[in-house]
Amino acid sequence: MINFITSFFLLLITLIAGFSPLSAQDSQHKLISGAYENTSFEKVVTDIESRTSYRFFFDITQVDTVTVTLQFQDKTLPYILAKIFAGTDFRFAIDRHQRVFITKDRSILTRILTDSLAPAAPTENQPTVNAPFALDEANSAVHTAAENKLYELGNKTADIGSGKAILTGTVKDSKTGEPVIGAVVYIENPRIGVSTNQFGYYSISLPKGRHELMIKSLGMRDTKRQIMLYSDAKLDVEMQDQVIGLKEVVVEAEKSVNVTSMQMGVERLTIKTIKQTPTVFGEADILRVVLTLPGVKTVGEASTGFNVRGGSTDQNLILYNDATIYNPSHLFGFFSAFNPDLVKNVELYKSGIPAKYGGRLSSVLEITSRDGNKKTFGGSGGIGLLTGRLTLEGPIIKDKTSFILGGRSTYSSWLLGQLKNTAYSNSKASFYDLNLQLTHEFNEKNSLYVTGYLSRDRFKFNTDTLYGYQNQIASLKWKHVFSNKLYGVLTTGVSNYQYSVESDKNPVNAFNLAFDLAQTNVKADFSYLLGDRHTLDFGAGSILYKIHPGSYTPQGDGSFVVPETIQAEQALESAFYLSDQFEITPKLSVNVGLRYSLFHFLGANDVLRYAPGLPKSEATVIDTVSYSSGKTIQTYQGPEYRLSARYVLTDNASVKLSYNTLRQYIHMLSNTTAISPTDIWKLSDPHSKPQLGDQISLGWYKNFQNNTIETSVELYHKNIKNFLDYKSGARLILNPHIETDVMGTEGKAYGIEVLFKKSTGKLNGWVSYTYARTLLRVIDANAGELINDGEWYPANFDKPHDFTLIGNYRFSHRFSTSLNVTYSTGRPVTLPLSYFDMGGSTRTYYSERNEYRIPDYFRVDFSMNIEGNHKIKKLAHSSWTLAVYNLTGRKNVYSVYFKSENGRVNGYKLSIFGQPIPTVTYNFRF
Amino acid sequence: MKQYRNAIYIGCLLAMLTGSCVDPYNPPAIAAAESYLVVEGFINSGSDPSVFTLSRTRKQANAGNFIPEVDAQVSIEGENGERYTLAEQTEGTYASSSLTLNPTTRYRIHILTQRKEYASDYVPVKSTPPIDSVTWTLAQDGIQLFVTTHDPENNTRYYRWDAEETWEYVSAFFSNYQYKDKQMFVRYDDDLIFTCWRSDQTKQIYLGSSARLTDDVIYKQPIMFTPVATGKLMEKYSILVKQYALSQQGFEYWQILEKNTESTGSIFDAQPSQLQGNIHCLTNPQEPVIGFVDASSIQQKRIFIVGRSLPFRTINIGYETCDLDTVPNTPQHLEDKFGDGYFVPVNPIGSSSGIIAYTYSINQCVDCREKGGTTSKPDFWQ
Repeated sequence: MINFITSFFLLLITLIAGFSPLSAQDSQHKLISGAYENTSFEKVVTDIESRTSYRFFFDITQVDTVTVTLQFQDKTLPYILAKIFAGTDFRFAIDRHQRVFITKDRSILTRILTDSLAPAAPTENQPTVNAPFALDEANSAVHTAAENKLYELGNKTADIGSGKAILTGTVKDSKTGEPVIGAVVYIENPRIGVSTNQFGYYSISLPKGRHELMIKSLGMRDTKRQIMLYSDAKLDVEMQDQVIGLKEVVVEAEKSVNVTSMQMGVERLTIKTIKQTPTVFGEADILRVVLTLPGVKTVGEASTGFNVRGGSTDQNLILYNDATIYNPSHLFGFFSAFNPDLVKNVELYKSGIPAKYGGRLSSVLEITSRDGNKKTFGGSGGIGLLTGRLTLEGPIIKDKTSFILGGRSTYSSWLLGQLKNTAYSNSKASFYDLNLQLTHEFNEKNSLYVTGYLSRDRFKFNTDTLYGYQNQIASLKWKHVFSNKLYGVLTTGVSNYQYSVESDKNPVNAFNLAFDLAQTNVKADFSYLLGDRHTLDFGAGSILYKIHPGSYTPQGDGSFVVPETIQAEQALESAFYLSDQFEITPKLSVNVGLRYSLFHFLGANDVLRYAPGLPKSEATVIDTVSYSSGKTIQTYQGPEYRLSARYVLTDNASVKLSYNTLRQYIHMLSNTTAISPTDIWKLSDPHSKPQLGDQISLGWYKNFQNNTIETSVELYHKNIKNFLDYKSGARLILNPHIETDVMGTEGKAYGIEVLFKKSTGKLNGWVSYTYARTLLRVIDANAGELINDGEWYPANFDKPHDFTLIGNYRFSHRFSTSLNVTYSTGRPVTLPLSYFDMGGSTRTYYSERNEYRIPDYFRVDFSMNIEGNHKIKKLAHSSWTLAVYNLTGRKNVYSVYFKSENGRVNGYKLSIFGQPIPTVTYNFRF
Repeated sequence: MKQYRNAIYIGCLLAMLTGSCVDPYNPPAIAAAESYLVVEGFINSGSDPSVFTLSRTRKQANAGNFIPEVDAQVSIEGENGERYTLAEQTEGTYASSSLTLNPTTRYRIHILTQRKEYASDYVPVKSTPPIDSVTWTLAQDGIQLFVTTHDPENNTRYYRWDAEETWEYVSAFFSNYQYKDKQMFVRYDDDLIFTCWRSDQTKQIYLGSSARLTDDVIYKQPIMFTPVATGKLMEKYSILVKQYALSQQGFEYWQILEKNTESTGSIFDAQPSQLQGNIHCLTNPQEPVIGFVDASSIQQKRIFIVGRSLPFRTINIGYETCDLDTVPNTPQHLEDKFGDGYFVPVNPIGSSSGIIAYTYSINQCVDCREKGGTTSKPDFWQ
């Protein structure tokens, strides 16, 4: 509080000072002599004040540790103070009234804009405000002032000279104090830029001297700072939310970033974009928006399982605050398991995956939750067609510790109960998810982040069988800034996923089937600025897996079920990495990375051995080898290369190239088209090798109209090895020797993605077109049977043509509309080749896999957002979203199938959402 | 995986669909496909003959296009050299005489068609344990049948069932008269067309396994469901359940066949699996052959259910639109009305001067045989 009052006081007098006429300019150069020996700073001040007209202002609690030992003869006060505070965090400023302000960390700017260092400054009498001490009010006048002020950074008295200095700091949301992730901090000339990390932290090496530092971020108002950089320094920046518009900006791209950044194949979405996209049940849904991105495909709209550039659904690493989520969906995939009120932003890496990530072949989907508001308490929520949600947040210790807690649940069980049809009213389907995020800032160098997450689903259809699954994660993250050049993050966490199926209707067969997976991980990531042109990222981490692949136990006394438990699997996956982002010339940059991953499949385990050269089956088992607990049974290891390069062609065009190799040691076993709740995960073991993937991609980027229109073209080619496919009648659940039911498959994928994006203005959005193919073939010589005789065949999600338009038009600050248009080629299906009679009925005989396609997919969605008024003082801000999903009511075919009924074969096509679906959602914030 | 089919309902429901989200689909015309041999049947280790049906896969789904494999030489061969030939009974159906098989030997089926030679793997002889009971429970719109069995030897483990259902039903109106040779005759027992019996084979695959249980017990395994709307529960209903023991491989074959052709239509559908039986083409080992041959016996059990005792409104199912009308009893009127057999007389309307008119209705409402049954009561009927 003292701090705050002091700040306010300082601000006030600074304002007054700013309005005062110039005076006593040369008295600043009055020469002083003196000698102090272990004297407290307070005493020194008293002494100087007694001999000069200088008056000092400072917070006594801050300086009480400062002692002065100094001799000087005929020196100016700035010289003396510089000597006193050399090597400390203290900054000083002297105004024209000979008032001396001593502050910690942040220097006060006392000069008005006519200062010789700011030649382009406007009027003489403009009030001067120090942004670092700006008040909490998101007052844009203050911000404008902050943008025009000159910040003198570093040790001002040091010889400015040439060379570079490192500027670090945190970019925060001025209203909530939350860090702004992925904000771009850059100067135009020479073009040097960095983006903030997940903590809002940035570190940039700039030539010493005068710069205009630009700060831009999605969904935030652009800002800039005039800086005079003397030496290594720190500058925190607050950015304003696009408050008034609320939803005015849909896709606020990072402007020129797509051209200048090293990264390619990355898609970044803010929650604003996500919230604006119409969804089937009205509620903002992260995964559904991810599905609209170029290069991302799905087998159909019933599933949130997604395929990135030809990868299978288990090849996506889904991270929620750095913890792995194994089943990111509710209600069989109709909803995604992330509460939109808690999500800050979403990043999808499709290629050029940074070396710090590994363990999955196709993509990394990083979901970052918000930190709670560090300044005031607040909340938000919404009521939709099927779900309700509520989020609360606020400071625990103001400006230091905050929390955010959110919950979401469905009332679909209640809805089902209301229905007349007993098949529905005897069914139930419920889910909920809970999120908690705590953030604590010990000091400027140390912050702690705690995340807890729980999602749970239970459902039962008009049967006696109850299904349930849940994800639980907890993670702890500690960020430490070692110096301006080095910071590190230590993360540890656990992720659990489990499901169960139980049935007790038939007492003899009553059972409980359970699966669970637990992973414990720890990792350390560091970022180091080496010289002017290198940024090193390095780190190491380990994941310990423990999987219980299945247990089948009797339920109740009357059950004859023989308890059966498939032996547990455990493994340790470790990796270390080093990457260097090297700016060879201002135009050419490369990022060279190496990740080395190591996988140990550990005992206790009994491993079957099969006769070499024969298909693996129960008949060819020759031996069982038992391994004791903790013993390494099998080791897999290998390097993963991560290379990318960017060459700037012109100010607004560049080309990028990247090459990646990846390894994946955990596999999802699923022989269903969509992800099903009973899919299980399996570790690589002596029989199933790790999946290997490599991808090369080339992209061209160009921006038009002052970077408001972005275009890009990306080409890629990808190979996948050791992908698992299943033999006919493969048993995946409770199979003690799964290796006999799978066969090695290889895949190749290639395509071109064209994106045209307009980020600002009343009309904004994007249009993308993708041509992509994904082909698979069985190459396992020991498979016994070969799908399609070992020839290439299209994968389930091979949809060559894909066109997406996401458009928004803002009529006013309170009324905006969005339109989605999606077209894609129908996915491949296997159709019956011929028919025969057996078992009293005509039946179908299938042959070549995926030889035909279902009809093409086309859908239009439309939504309107209506905001309440924007008075700042209001109990709650509310908004209504009215949307129609599938506006044209087209019956998009999800699948076609053939069924033998009453002796005949009938063909059917199934559409999931075959009508326009109107929804209304009410959202509120307080 | 069967239960997931319900997920579609939830999907449709969530989407607030009022109608169906499933529509008929006609697949595109498929280019010429090869025709493969289809073998259905089993080597009967009991006292009945072994019967095999041989056919060919066809391009048209319609059962009328069934292509029997005629003039084949079919035999059952034992590993010990036994050999029994099967004679073609009707086109594509081959039957042995009653066989006494050696339970310690394995047998196979051997087929020589006009062009190629086929044989199954040798399979051990299993015997099927008897059915303990066939039970049923009432559901909202029909009855669910269950089968219970056990093998004290704990040897069988894999089961398949099919069934023959027979039901007694009546027409809408009891006709006492028939118009024949331009005259009215009173119907006697043999001419009555009010009560009929009809039989049908089940068309679905019912499988059960006790492989995961301590004892070889199948307890109340749901088999067929008979909806009221079929009219089968109108008067009296009987079902003859037949039980077959399967080998594990045989069970897996039938399970794939069931999944590929009956348990489809969920949002989690798997790719159709290749159907691999145990019959091979010896002439061309690459050629697929459809079918699985096991050697076991049949056990059967019949139960009766009195439809009238069920709490369903079964009267008039299938006869909702039936009405009576009258026709004056004059030769001309009668000839006009009944001459072509479309209408059938039901009852006379009499007065002191005799029959002045007849009530009548259309043939489908009066003659129960129009619904596919026969008026001769089956021997087993109780």
